[in-house]
Formats: sequence, structure tokens, C-alpha cells
Amino acid sequence: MSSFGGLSISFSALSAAQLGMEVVGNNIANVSNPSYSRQTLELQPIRAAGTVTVNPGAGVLTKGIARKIDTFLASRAREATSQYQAASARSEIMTRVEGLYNELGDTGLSSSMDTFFSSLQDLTTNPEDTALRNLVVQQAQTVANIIQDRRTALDDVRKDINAEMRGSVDSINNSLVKIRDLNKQIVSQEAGTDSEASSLRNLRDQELASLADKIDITVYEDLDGSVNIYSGNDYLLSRGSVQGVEIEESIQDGLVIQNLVFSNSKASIPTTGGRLGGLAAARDQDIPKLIADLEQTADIFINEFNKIYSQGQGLESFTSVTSTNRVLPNSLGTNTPLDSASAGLAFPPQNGSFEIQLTDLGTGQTTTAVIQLQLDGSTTGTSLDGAGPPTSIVDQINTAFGSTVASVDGRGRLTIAAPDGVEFNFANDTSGFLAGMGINTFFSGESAGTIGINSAVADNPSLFAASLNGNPGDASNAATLANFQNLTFASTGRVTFGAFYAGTTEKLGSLSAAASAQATVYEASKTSLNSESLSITGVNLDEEAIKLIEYQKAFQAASRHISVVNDMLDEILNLVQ
Amino acid sequence: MTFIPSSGGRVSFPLQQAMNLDNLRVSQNTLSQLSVQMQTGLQLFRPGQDPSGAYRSLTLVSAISANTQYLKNISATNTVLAQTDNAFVSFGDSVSQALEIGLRNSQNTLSDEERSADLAVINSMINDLLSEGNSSYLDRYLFSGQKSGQPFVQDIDGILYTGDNQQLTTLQSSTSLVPFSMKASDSIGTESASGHGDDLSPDIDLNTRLAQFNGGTGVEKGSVAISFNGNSVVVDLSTADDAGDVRSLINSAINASAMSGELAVNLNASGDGFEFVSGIATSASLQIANIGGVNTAADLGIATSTTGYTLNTAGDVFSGRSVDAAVTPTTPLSLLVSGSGLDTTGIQITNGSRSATLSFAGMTTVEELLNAVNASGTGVRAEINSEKNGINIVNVLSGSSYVVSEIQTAAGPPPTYGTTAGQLGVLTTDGSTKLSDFNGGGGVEFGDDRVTTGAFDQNNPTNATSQAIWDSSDIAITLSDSASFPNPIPVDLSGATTFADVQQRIQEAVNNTIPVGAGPAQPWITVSPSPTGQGFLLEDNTGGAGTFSVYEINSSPAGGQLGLTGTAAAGDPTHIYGADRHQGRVVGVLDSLLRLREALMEGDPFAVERATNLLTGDQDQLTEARGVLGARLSVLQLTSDRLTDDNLTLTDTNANIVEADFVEVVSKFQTQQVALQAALQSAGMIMQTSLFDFL
Repeated sequence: MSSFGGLSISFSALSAAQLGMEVVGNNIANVSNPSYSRQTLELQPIRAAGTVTVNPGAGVLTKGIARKIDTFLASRAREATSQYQAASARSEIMTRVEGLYNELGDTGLSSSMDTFFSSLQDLTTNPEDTALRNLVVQQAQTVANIIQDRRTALDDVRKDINAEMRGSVDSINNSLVKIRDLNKQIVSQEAGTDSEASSLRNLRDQELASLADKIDITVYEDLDGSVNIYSGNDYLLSRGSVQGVEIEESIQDGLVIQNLVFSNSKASIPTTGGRLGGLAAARDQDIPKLIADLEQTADIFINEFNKIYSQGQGLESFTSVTSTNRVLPNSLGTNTPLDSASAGLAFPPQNGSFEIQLTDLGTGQTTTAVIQLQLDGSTTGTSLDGAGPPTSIVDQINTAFGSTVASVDGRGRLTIAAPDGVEFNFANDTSGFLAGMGINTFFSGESAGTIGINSAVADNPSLFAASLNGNPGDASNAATLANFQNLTFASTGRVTFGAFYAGTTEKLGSLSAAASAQATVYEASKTSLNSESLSITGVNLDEEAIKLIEYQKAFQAASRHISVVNDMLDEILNLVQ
Repeated sequence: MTFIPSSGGRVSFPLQQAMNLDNLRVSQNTLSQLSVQMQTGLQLFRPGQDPSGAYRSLTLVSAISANTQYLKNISATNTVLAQTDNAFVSFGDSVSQALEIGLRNSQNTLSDEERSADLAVINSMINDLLSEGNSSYLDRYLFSGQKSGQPFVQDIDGILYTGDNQQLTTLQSSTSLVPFSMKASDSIGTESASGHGDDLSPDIDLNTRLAQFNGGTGVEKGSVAISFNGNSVVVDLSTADDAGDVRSLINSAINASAMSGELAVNLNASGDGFEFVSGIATSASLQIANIGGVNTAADLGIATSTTGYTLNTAGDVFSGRSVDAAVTPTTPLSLLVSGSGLDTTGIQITNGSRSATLSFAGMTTVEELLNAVNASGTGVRAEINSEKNGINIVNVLSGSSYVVSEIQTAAGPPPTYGTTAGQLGVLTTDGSTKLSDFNGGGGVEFGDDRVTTGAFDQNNPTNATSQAIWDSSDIAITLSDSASFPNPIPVDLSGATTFADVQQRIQEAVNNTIPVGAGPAQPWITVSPSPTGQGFLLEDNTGGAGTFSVYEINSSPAGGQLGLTGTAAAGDPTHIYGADRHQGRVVGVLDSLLRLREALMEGDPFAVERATNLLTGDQDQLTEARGVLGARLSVLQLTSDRLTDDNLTLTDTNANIVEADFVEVVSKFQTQQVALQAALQSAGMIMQTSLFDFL
């Protein structure tokens, strides 16, 4: 045993205590960093050299600094956070849409429709009242505006999601590059040692958490300490190779959709996790359902409402009318049946007929002509202006008037212009031709994005077809329209329009509630797992204070030991003098 | 609200921090929500909070909105009806005053001055009522029906009514379209009793639209199942629009099935429906049925009984029922009168100083006929009747007599006439004419009560039975076959109330009499409405050389009052054209007042009495109309009460869904406030204490 052995032992103790205090200091410095994993100093005794039987040891050896972390728990917490981010983003979008709809408020579509139908009822009490007619038009305009605004708003939401998708590409790719670089450093630093590159791993964990917040990832750690990252079945980072993500565009419901895809394989990034996954799910799964409902609502107004409306007559008759819808130009002048896809009508007519009532202003006499539409889905049905047979609509109308009054312009729109001294009305349309072509209709347009009010009626509400028999005091058509909410249609699944529309709101609520409930579940899971993880990785100041005292006392004791050994050596050296 | 489980192990500073932050976030979020609930009074803002609640709330709010509007409609309706009632009161007061004047003047005890004064009052009254009849509310005339413009217009021949019999209607529930105007024809009285046409029983052709079937109610769209000779086929008729489509779709389906060649459908022989014709020689059962509870087959009149209909051989026919097609403006005239086609000779209309002879030759549709009549300027209104099976041509010119008659096609003798008016059922005097309307509303007086048993015996005219019949009769008729009928035949008319009753009485009395010998072939006499539209036409069919005549007996004035008495002209010995004792005048207050005015001007107490009698009827009609109006107001009040109750219930139900319970919300708010305070305090204490404080 060396006389100086004691000094050596104390020196190792001083070094260990000093390092311990540094670890404590670092932990305290990161006490508020939730992504930091606390560190502990790993010590082991130094075995004495030689073969002396009585040997107290050679001091203490600093084995390394270890992170306190349960990697499995941390991984689970990261996944739960990713899932929560997805559900939360989806819920956030649905809540935003609910706000845009404001369906339970006074400005929702339901409330506006109620007001519109009430205005129609008001009109029945005095169908000649111009103010009431104006009110009907205004309320209908409000309904059409809300439908259009909603359609635009849903597209805006989708565009915003597109923008966030697009903006996240660089962020994701940068994270992947950072992680790849950290992988290299960690492998290099940990090579041949038992010690972890704690700081680097903490940094990498932070990047992984950031990445998982955005997209769904699965992380696998290699034996050398590097990690590989997958999303679904495709890799993002594998053995130092970064695939990265990019944007791919497609068309959905009339809008360019920007999707995240793998750079090489071009496969879509899964939407099962991460904020972007949740946004994509909201955009591609939830919003299309709302768009479909909105389009169906618009269709019901444009088609079903107009079918009823077109049976009626206004206070004034037509001297000229041009259809708001049109057949495809390619079908003009041919025997293309009006119920065929080639005719291109959004709401094609069916076999049936309608009446044109011509009134001679000189005599006041009315003549009614029945216009037949022979349509059975075959190629031999009635066309708009073909040579026939069967006789086209244009030819039948011209025959009814006894002169050439009907024509079709190059865009496929039908115009009927009565000769001087003659007015006309329409009635008893069993074919849906008038609604399909947009003649004597109230709502114009072909979709939620284009729905509006027929400009002729908007400009002159006297044309509003409140009457069925043409009498100014008759409002039976307005009464039927006022009761529109209680009517059933094939397109509403044989439930009333009112119930159908309330059902669409319920669907919106269900989508929102489901997203919200999922977010709540994942939040609980995320919070629980994070709590467990934080209980392991987080710094406890009291613990650190105790450790600080421990290292301080160890340092003091070691120093004292050196002093004692020094005194002993002095005594021995004094003997030599 | 998320929940952070307390860790069983160590509690790190970040964990403590996360727990504190989360607890604070949850508490503050809850407080914020409760605060909004307190501020707005609502607990449901977004459908996502309670999707099914949102559904219920929307439907409830819609129902409340609709009910509120129904109440508003009722309020508007009440106002219109109240205004109408005011007008009725004015009419009623005037009629009462006119009755007093009428009664006073029917005694012929007043001086000329007094009568002139009464005449002035009546003149003033007519002007006032003309104004009252044209009263309006919110720029809409109360009595114009669905027409616009003043309904009552002073005319050279009287007062013309330009309105119609349509009513203003509004909604008082989703299924209830109720009228809120009173028909002027049912209250003030604006049209004649004459001119309401007969059922024209139109046939159908291949272009007849299904919407016309079943009196205009149409055909339920759907499919029909046809089984025949062991095979069956289902035919989808939902796209059929007219009878031609039905025939085409059914025949196509049959020909595309195993039944091809065995069965065919066409319009039936009577032209009022469909028929199925067997194409096989053997006997087979035909079954045609509705499918899925949709009444397509029944509405088309082709449904068989469940046991089917047996067709025994090729050519055997199953004929469906009449589809009861409605008359519409586009109905061809050729399909009317059970497919015989309307005689287009035309009609003649005389009304006051106006007249028109309207030929319908060349016309093809009902609409053309209506146009021609309405454009004739004769103070009549032509329209399809409310049953949609006939055409009305009624007088709407109060104060004027009108006659609708046939057009004479040959002067004769005997003269010949078209049959158009008779086919339409618009001859001014016809079977449905009430005898009480004869003689300016004075009616017809009869002799003794009728003897209802036995027959007058030409062989023994003085036996007890014959004598009893003679003694109770009103008129006697001599026939030209004086050998078989040597004695005049007595006809007892007492108790008859309509033109048709008189027809029947005369025909029964004459045709049941016991002749001398076998007598000529029956019927010996035919009584019908005169083609001149003014009374009876009697035709002697016995073919003798005697004189055909009708005369009064037993001092009964009935024969003369019915215009029956007279002798056949030498040039036309078999016909007696009755005298005009029935004027097709408007039945209503204004017409009666105009009659009274005319009677006063002429100083005719009998005419005054007749006008007074008519006014009594008008008063009854006004009273009845006010009763109907009152009943409507009563129903409206009940409906209003029900809707108000419904709205209360609906509002309460909706409130339970969307509105916040203040007691609960405030209680929760206080609890949450305490929880937040505790969380803040505990977090502060925990985060502040550290071992470092003691070093």
C-alpha cells in the first residue's frame, strides 16, 4: 500500500463529486425543459491494483452520465401525442366549420329558410302585395347567399389546409435531415463507450416529437444508437437515407387538393396521426360529406322547388323568356333526347308534358297548347331542336304560337319570344322540362356554388309564380311552396325536406362531436403517458438539492481526507528532519 | 375534461408543472363555458355539443316558426273576415230596410209621393251597396274572388259582377289550406241558378293526360302486376303521362314477357277507360293488381278482383271501369257527351239588351268554347264547373233576364234546333229549374192535393176514379188522336217543385191514361225543355187529326203560370211551345233590389211583393253566410288557441335542449371557481416550496 494511495483515492472522489455537481447543475438548468431527460452520474469503485489481501480499493471511477428515460414509454407517449394532434386538428376544423355554419344561431341556413318559407306564407294572405313579393325574393336571395357562402367557406377551409400542408413540407424535410445528422453524431459519440450521448439524444427526441406532432411516424432504434423513421409502410429515414416528403396535387369537388406524398414512391402519407394527418382527414373525409349535403340542399332548391314553382304563374305573363340552363352545344340541331347525358342538362326531364297558355291581349282570350316530351331513356326521345321525329320542343312551341317564336342560341339556351300582342304562361309540367331548362324558375344555377335567384324574377317580383290558375288572388302555388319543408322527395330519402336538412346539421354535429370525442380520448392517453414519462425524465429540484448536498459533502470529506493524509505525510517527513 | 393520474412514483418538476397547467386550463375553460352560458342563457351553441339535440332543436324551431306564421296568417284572416262581416252587416241592414219598404208598398195603400220617397231610398241603397260590394282591404276587393279590379260594375242593364267564385286561401297548418274570403255568390248572390251545366262524361283518347283521370285527381305513380294464363309481368308505369303511354308501356311489357301475343291492352269500347283483350283460345284468368300499396291499377280502373277475371276465348275482353276523366280547357269537344261529341251548332244568349248567337263550328276544345262565350259580352260567365265534369254558363248581370237557347237550324214548320245547350245542360229553363223561380220568383200556385192512385179512363171519364182525378187536376190536355183519346186528359201538378216534376207528371198522366181501344204506340206525349230556353216543349205523338191543346181546369192558375196552356199551331200541330214564365236572373240582393226598384217605378204591388219575397230569401242567404263566417272565425280562434298552446309546448321542449339552467350553471360556476382558486393556491404553494430554501 502506497503512502500516497490515500491522496489518489481522494482525488478520484473530488473528481467524481465535482462532476456530480455539474450533472446536478445541468439538471437544474433544464428543470423547465419538458423534453429534457434528467441525467445521473454513474459511479463505480476502482479496484485496487496488486495482490495485497487487505485492500480498501483505489477510489471511485466515473462510469458515465446516463439519461433517465423509459424509451418504450417515451415512444408510446410520442405516438399518443401524434394521434392527439391528428384528432385535435380534425376537431379544430369541424369546430371552425360549425362556427361558419352558425346553424343554431339566428343567421344559420335553417333560420333563413324558416324566414323564407314564412314570407311565402305571408304572400298567400295578399298575393298582389308587391312588398310581400319583394320580401319573398329577398329572403330567397338570403338563402341562396348562405348556401353559396357556405360552399365558398368550405373551399376556403380546404385551401387553408392545403396551405398548411404546403408550408409543412420544408419543416418535415428539415427535421428529417436534422435527425439524420444527429444520428451520425450519436453513433460517433457513443461508439466504444458505455456512456450515452445524452444531450444529442435529447435533441433528437425533441425533433422526433416535433415530427410526430405533424405526421404519423414509427421510430425504430438500431443497435448503434441511430433511429429509422417510417410512416405507414414507407420510410422517411432509413440507415442515413432521407426520403422526405413533397406535395402532389389532385382535384376533389372542384378544388385543387394538395396532398403530402413520399418524395420517391409518391405514395400518400398516412392520415392516421399528426396534425397534418388530422387536417387531411378533415379535408378529404369530413368536408366532402358536408359539401355533398350542401350540394344536395342546393339541388333540392334548384330542381324540386323549381319543379313546383314552374307550375305557377305570376301577376304578369311572359312576352319573352330565355332559359337559365342550356343543353350542350354539340347536341344542338340534332335529335339528341333531352334525357340523355349528351344533352347535358343537370336536371334532365322525363317523359311527360307541359302546357303553354297563350293570351291574346286584344281579345283577352287564352289558348292552351300541350307540349309533349316523349322520353323513355332511348335514343329516339324528344330533342330540343332536332328535326325529329318525335317533334322537337322548338317545333311544338312554334306550332302552338303559329309562328317561329322559339329558338336556341349557340350556347344551347332556349328563347321564346311571343309576337306583339301575345303573352304566355306555363302550367301543368309533368316532365320537369321547365325546371331542367330553367324556364319559369325561381332559383337559378346548377350547384351550391352557383345557386341564385332568377334575375327576371329578382328584377320584377310581379313575375313570382304564386298562382296556379293565373288569377291575381290565387296563391295556391305559393302555399305549396310555403309548405316545401314538409314535402318529401326521392332525393331526400322520402323524408321531409325539413327533416333532411336538420339531418345534415346533425351529421355536421356528429362529425364534430366524434372528432372532439376522439381528441378527448387521445388527450387523456397522451397526458397519461406523458405524465408517466415525465415522472421518470423530469427533474425534481428537491432530489437535485439532496444530490448537491451529497456531492458537496463528498467533496468536503475528500478534501478533508487529503488534508489528513497530508498531515500524516508531514509528520513522517518531520521524522526525517 | 382530461384527467392526469397521480404518478405512483416520483413527481418531477415538469410533471408538477404540467399537472398544474392542465388543471388550470381545464378549470378556466370550464369557467369560460359556464360564463358564456350565463351571458347568453344558452347551453347549446354548436351542433357538435349535442348532435341529436341540434336536430331536435332545428325541427322544433322550424315548427315554432311555422306555427308563428300560421298565427300571423290567422290574424290576417281574422281581419279580412271581420271586414267582410262588416260588409255583410251593411247588406243585411239594407235588406231589412228594403223589406220594410217592400211590405209597405205591397199593400197598395201608399200615395205616389210616399212611393217616390221609398223609391229614392231604394236607389240610394243600391248605390250604397254597390259601393259596399266594392269595399276592399289592403288594396284587395273583398268580393272579387281571385280576380282583381272592382267586382261590381254599374251597367246599362244592371250591375255586372266581374269577380269569380274562387276563394283566397292561406295555410293554417302544414296540411290545411283554408279559405279566408267569402264567395259573393253564396252571400250577396251574384249569379243565376240557371246555367249550371250537366256532367258531360268525357271519354278519353290516347292523348288524355293521366292528371285528368279520376275527376282531375290523377293517377298515383307506380307499377302494376298483370297475371294471365299462368304468366305474370310487372309493368312500371311511373313514367306514363297519358293514356297512350299506359297502353304502350303495358303492351311492350306484355310482349317482352312469356305473355307475348296472349294479351293486349287498348282503350275500351265505351271510350272511358282501358280494356284487356285475350289472344288465346283457351279460358284463362286475368289478374291485375296494385303493387306495394300504390294505387296505380285502381286509379287506372284496370284492377281486377283478387280472384281475377276469366277470359274464355280469343277476343274476350276485360273492360276496366270509367276513369272519370275531368273536363279541362284542352279537352276535345269530340270527347264530350260520353264520346258522342258536343253538337257544335252553338248557343244563343240573350241578356237584357244584349244578345249573341255563338256557333261552335270549327272549334275543337273546351277552351275555345269558353273563350267564345266569355268574349260574347252578354253578361254571362262561362267556366268549367267545380266538379270538373261540366261547363257553367251563368248570368252575372243583376237586374237583367237572360236566356240561353238553342240555335234554330231550320224555320220549319216545325222549326228545328241544335242540341248544344241541352247537351251542356245550360238551357235557361230545364229539368233542374225550380218552380219557385217561375214568375219573377212568385212561384206557381196549384189546385187541390193530388190523387195518386188510379188512371183516367177515356172509356168512362165519369167513373169515381176518373172524376176524382179530374177534380184534383190543374190542367187538361187534348191529344190529336181524338178516337183513342176523345176526352181531355187531366193532369194534377200539385206538389211539383221542379221543372222535371212537371215533365214527369204530364208524361205519367197522359201515358197512363186508359185509351179507347188499344191506342197508338207509346209514348203519347213527350215533355222536354224548350230549345228556346224559355219553358216547356210538349210534343203530341198520337198522330190524329184532332187539336193538341192544353188548358187550365178547376180554376187552377198553374197551367198559365207554368206557361203550359195553349193550342198547337196549324202549321205545327204536334208541338206546343210553352210561354216564358222563367227568367234566368241573378239570385241575390242587388237583383232583388233592382226588381223592387222596377216594381216601385211601375207601381206594381204584386211585383213589389214578389221582390220582397226574394229579399226574404236574400236575407236568409246573408244570415247563412254570416253564420258560415262566424263559424270560420270560431274555428280560427280554436286553431289559434291550439297553435298558441303548441308553440308553448314546442318552445318549452326546445328550451330544455338549448337553454341553460341558470341555477345549475351558477352552481357549477361557483364550484368551478372554488376549484380554480384551490388549484391556484395549491400550485403556488407546491411550486414555491423547495429544499433549496433551507440550504
